[in-house]
Amino acid sequence: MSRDLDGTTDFERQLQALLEASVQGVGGHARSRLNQARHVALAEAAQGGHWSPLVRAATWLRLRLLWMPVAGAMAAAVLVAFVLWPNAPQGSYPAVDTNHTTVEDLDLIADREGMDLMQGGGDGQFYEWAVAQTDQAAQPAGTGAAGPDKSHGAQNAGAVADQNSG
Amino acid sequence: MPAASHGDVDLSDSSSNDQCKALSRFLAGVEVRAFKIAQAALRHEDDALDAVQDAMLQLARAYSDRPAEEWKPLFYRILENRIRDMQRRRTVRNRVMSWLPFRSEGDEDEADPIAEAASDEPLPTRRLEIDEAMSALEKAIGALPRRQQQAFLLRTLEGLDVAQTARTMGCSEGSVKTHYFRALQTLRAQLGELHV
Repeated sequence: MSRDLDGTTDFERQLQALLEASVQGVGGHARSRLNQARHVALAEAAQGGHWSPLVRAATWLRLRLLWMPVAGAMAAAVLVAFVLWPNAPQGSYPAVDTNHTTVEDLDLIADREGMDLMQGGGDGQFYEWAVAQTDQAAQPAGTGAAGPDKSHGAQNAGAVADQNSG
Repeated sequence: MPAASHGDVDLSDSSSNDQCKALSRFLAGVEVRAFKIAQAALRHEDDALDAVQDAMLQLARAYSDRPAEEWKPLFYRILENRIRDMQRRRTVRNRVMSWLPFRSEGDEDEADPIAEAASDEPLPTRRLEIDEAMSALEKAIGALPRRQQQAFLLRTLEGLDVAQTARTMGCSEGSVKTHYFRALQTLRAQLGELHV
């Protein structure tokens, strides 16, 4: 490691040469912007240090560009929150047993006979009679006065048989 | 006292013009080196250009009436402050951005190959050697601690002497020598002997 009279080593000289080459290699875009910046600064100096409109505009634009991603993201977040806020539940709604109702409704829709019964068509009368018969059979023997008499039931049965055979 | 008129030379205007020309020469002389120093610290071309522009403006606005000999340490002192401000601001910005779920990874500006084209191209093979060595050097400089990096670049790239560097860095001459020496040691360990 040899030194110059000023104490600089070969290594330092090589580093200096390399850095100087890197300075020479600075691209045209950067040089152009530096040139513009110098002219703005000189205009500033000529105005006695007061902020010229050009400087104000350049500073504002740079600050805007610097914080634009952050500001944009914040604005988007606020907007999303604002849009979603009215759809949030407000106050208390009357409680509805939605699970039970939904299952019953689905069952009813899936059962075709159930729909016929609901609409009163088809064999509605027959089913009403069959239910009445079942109720009567379930009652004890001595309480026959409470239900329909047997002759009426027989007539109904005959009518139903006619319907089915017809 | 009003300025001289009726064909006499306006001394105040003449002095102002001379000062303006001197400032222009000074800025033209330091701007590219200042840009390289800022780029080594900030590792971003646009940020480095902004920092240099701010330093130029601040010098012109506040210190253009100072003697020209004081400009260089003042300018680099201002530049150093701007670099530190931008590093802090960038830290805050990155912290804010890291909280946002929909930030894109491709936010960094893409390099424009035409804009990046260097001037005064030497032969391609020579250019390649220089580029490789330069790239290794810039990487090694970028990895240096900030004070070592500052001392090394001000001394080697800008050619400030120890006293000027100390004034610019706001520390003693002994500290400058220590930072510079350590920077050299680190660079030698990482780069070995350069053949450029």
